[in-house]
Amino acid sequence: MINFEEELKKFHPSLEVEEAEDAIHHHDLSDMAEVIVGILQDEKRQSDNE
Amino acid sequence: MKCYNCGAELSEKDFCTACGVDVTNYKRVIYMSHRLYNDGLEKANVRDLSGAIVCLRESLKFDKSNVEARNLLGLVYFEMGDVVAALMEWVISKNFRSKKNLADDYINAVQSNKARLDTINQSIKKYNRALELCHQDSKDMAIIQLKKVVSQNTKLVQAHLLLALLFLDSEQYPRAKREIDRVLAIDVGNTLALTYRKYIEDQTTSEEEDGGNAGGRKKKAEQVRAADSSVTYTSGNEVIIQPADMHEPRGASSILNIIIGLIIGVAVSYFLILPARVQMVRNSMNEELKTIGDNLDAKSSRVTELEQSVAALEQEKAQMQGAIDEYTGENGESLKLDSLLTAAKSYLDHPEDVSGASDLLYEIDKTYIDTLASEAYRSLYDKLMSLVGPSAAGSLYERGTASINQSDYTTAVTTLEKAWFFASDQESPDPEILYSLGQAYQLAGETDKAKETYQNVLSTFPESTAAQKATERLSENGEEGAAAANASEQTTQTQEQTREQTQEQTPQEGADENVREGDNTDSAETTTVVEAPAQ
Repeated sequence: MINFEEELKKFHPSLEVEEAEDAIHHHDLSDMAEVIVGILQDEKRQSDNE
Repeated sequence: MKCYNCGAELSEKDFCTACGVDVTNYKRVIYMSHRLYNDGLEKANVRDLSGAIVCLRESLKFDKSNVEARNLLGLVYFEMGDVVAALMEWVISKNFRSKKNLADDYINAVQSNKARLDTINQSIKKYNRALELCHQDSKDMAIIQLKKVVSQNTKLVQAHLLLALLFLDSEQYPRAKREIDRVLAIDVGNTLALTYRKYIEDQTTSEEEDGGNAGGRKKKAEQVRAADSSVTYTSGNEVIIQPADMHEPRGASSILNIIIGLIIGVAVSYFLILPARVQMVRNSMNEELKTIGDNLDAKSSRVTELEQSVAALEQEKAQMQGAIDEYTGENGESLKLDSLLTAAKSYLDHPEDVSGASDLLYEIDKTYIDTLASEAYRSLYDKLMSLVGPSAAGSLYERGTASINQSDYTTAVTTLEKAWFFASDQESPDPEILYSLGQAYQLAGETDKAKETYQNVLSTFPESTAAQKATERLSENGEEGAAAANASEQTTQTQEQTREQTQEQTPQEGADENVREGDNTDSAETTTVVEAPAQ
């Protein structure tokens, strides 16, 4: 049996055209490459200090 | 692939050949991103759009600058009706690579069709509103809104799914199934749609089982009953079921139906078609009247213009006629010229008979000659006068005195006036002509003119015999008595002296003078003859 209320939670409002600009500005663009580069640079910095 | 440290192109080595930094893990991350992109592309190719979205999002989590993955993600969103999300991905993609980017074409394609973009935006707003209505438990309203949404934006998967959920909730499984099918036509791997479909299948199967044999028998009985009470036949692809007891209307009812149809037709044409036709004809007549009015105005103004033009031309014509009349009229220059030329011709044809020429010359206005005539005209006139004048004066004088003797004083006045006209133009005019003119005036009863003429004789020719006689005539009238007597004596003396001198100078002229004297004598005699009535 489908629970309507539970199913309804799976639906989210769609972005409207007027909201697109804000959405782009607040879009989380962090990726794994950045994380890896950050880690590698930290390691390099530590080894240099040592 | 480029080095994260120095930006140089990386080789197959695990380190950057330019700066020497270790790029093993970095390369792994980038490769993972590429791999996920490839998975996403494969899923998109088989229309597993939900699966493609998952892969492409993962790909971008590994490498946000994977432009191909981002563009494909936007394309998948667009295909699922989420245009704003698609635009967002393409804009970000363009930010990472501003040139030679497919996102440019996608954005331009969407933005070029403004009306379509507006419709899509409206549909998204309505979807959001429908979602709110669902949360507020206004499911019927939500269904209405969502029906509008799916008619405007047929690819909006979320709207189809929500509508299917609402139908499921109200146990309208066929409708829900129809929406699910539409979703799966767009996105074959949509998990939610597949879940709902499975649920619908389960529900319909259990209902059929529950319905069981009783229901089946009932349906069969209904089918049999329907078959008995109807006639079924096939027309092309359509199966037509017609009630068995249905008969074509015949006889009076048919005629009645036809009449009713005719009445309805007439009524429709009277109430609907006729007013429209009348209005159309009226409009066309109004248009025609307007056109005619415009033409009339234009023609009226044209007529006014022409009338003004005609008036101007009439005025010009009158002026021209005046000028022509001035030239050719009674006192026109042309006539004057004609008179002079005719006079010249008359003299040239008959030099011995100057009467014709003299009459014409007399007719010419002296004032015109003095003021307006050309030099050539004036010289010809003077020449003619010098040729014709003496003879004309003499002959006219004779005719004038003859008229006096015949007591025709009016003719005498006219003739002598002419005679004096020609005589006065000469260097030494005969004073007897002027005296005779005065006498003619006196005899014709024009006393004032006579006195004036006598005075003229006295002033112009004071020493002549004529002056003496003029003095006598004046004294007879009681005027100028003493003065005239003195003048007469002086005149007599001077006249005798002059005559003697003249005879000595030119015997011929003296002879002529004698002849003239004789004439004068005759005139004196004539005068004496005619003086009696005056006394």
